[in-house]
Amino acid sequence: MQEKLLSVINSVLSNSGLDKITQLNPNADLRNDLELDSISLAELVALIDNRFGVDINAEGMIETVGDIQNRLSR
Amino acid sequence: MLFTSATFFLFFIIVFYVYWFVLDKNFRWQNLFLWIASYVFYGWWDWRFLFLLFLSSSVDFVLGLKMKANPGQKIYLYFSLIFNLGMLGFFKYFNFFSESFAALFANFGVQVDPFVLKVILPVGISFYTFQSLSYTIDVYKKQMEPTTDFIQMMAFVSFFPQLVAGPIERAKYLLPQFAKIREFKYEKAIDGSRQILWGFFKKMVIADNCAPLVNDIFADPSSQSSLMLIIGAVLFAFQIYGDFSGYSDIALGVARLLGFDLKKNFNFPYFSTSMSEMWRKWHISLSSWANDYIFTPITKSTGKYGRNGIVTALICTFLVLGLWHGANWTFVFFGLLHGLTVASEYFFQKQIRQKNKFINNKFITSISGWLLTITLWLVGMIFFRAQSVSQAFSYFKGIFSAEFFPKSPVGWSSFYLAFFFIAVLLLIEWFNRTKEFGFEISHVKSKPLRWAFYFILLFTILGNAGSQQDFIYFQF
Repeated sequence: MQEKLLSVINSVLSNSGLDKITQLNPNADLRNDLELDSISLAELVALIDNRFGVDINAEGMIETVGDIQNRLSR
Repeated sequence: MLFTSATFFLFFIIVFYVYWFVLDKNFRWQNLFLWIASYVFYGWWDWRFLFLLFLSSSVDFVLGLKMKANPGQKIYLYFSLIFNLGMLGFFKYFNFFSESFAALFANFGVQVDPFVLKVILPVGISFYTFQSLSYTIDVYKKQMEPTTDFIQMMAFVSFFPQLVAGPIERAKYLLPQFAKIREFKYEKAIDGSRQILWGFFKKMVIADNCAPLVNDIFADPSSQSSLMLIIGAVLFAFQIYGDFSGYSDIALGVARLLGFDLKKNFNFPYFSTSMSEMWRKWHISLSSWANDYIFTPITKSTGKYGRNGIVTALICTFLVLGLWHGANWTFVFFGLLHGLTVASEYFFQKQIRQKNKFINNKFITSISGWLLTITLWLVGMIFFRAQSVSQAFSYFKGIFSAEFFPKSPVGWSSFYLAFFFIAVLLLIEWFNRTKEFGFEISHVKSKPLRWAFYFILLFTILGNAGSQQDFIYFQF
């Protein structure tokens, strides 16, 4: 699951013209550290929904990579 | 009751005195008093529409409790959406859609008389409807507990500093502030007063001085030179910024004087270097509302189509945002233009970043980004201000085809004055662009210097205020 998530995040980062990441840091803030804006975040949420079948925004907005991991592991 | 009127000044002195010195720390009595004061404030325009405000708040209060008792049942959410949006649709959009359908049928040769209602648009209906809706949506999504205190709910929806033109506050942020004791803090009150003063400067000196010049130019664009048309668009951009962000500054300051914190609504948008950034900094409470309650739900349906789905969601969201401003095709074009530009920036962001890396000069990329953003914004402003889409297009045509300089003499002194104060505004805001608002001078250590700034600003306002105008966003 972790590799698949890394690939999804990197796909959004690549589409945004941002540098890819090599590993998942649960404390990494999606906006401040990964520099994703609200539109790219929506792309990430939609992509995760497609790949994992999980709406990670259902219980409120996600802020960190760890938030995504937690919601996917439930 | 205009914030810039003597009536409001008197009203607020009474409210402030009773709120802090008579009711002191009994927050329940303060809430009741705020509810009554807010209804007086609103009823000053037209007391007949108080019942709509009361109805909207009461219905959502009851629905919130029903949602708590029956978790997960969508019927109460649907009822709230239909009721609030139905009310907004009836008062704001009924005639627009009726006339548009009649025009559509006329294109196919079918003559239909549009059924037009003689209804007055209740002031601020778009603002308090969205604010009240945020309560039921958040309760439904379990992002907050519903309030069981009717007076708190009434005071929250009708809170007079932001009732008629925002910021559109989220229930989960503002409502809890009604449920606790507010303490009068000197520093907070001083900060609020500074923000009010800055709001007055923006509204009375910038917006009210630009307004008559803009009105003259937009009254008959076909008779204007190309230069005057460009100046008209620039001045309107500053008129609306001074007017709306000035209102927000006053609202935030007044709320602070009453011990409340409202969300920042403008973050120096005219220094933005992209349209996406502009929308993150302009009318923040509306754009974040649209992000959470329109864009995000749409992406749930369109997200499966990948990036094209996101683009579709963006354009749909901006069309709604445009129409939110008013029942006129000019606002639909305004929304469409912004939707297309923000969507383009999103779609080509990789190429934009690569281009910026290639140029490798932050100053050049920032200036070129700013120039493009401001140009696109001015195009949008022309749609926003024009009476009709055809007038907007004739305005654009005039910019490119009319004589560049005006033939007849122009009273330039009023223009020089407006541009001088715009330059002052930009200069002060640029230096304070990392602060909460333009006139945030708490970092100035010298007390006499701070007071000197207050007096300079105060006398600038008193000596240079334009003729009093309504706030533009009241009509929305």
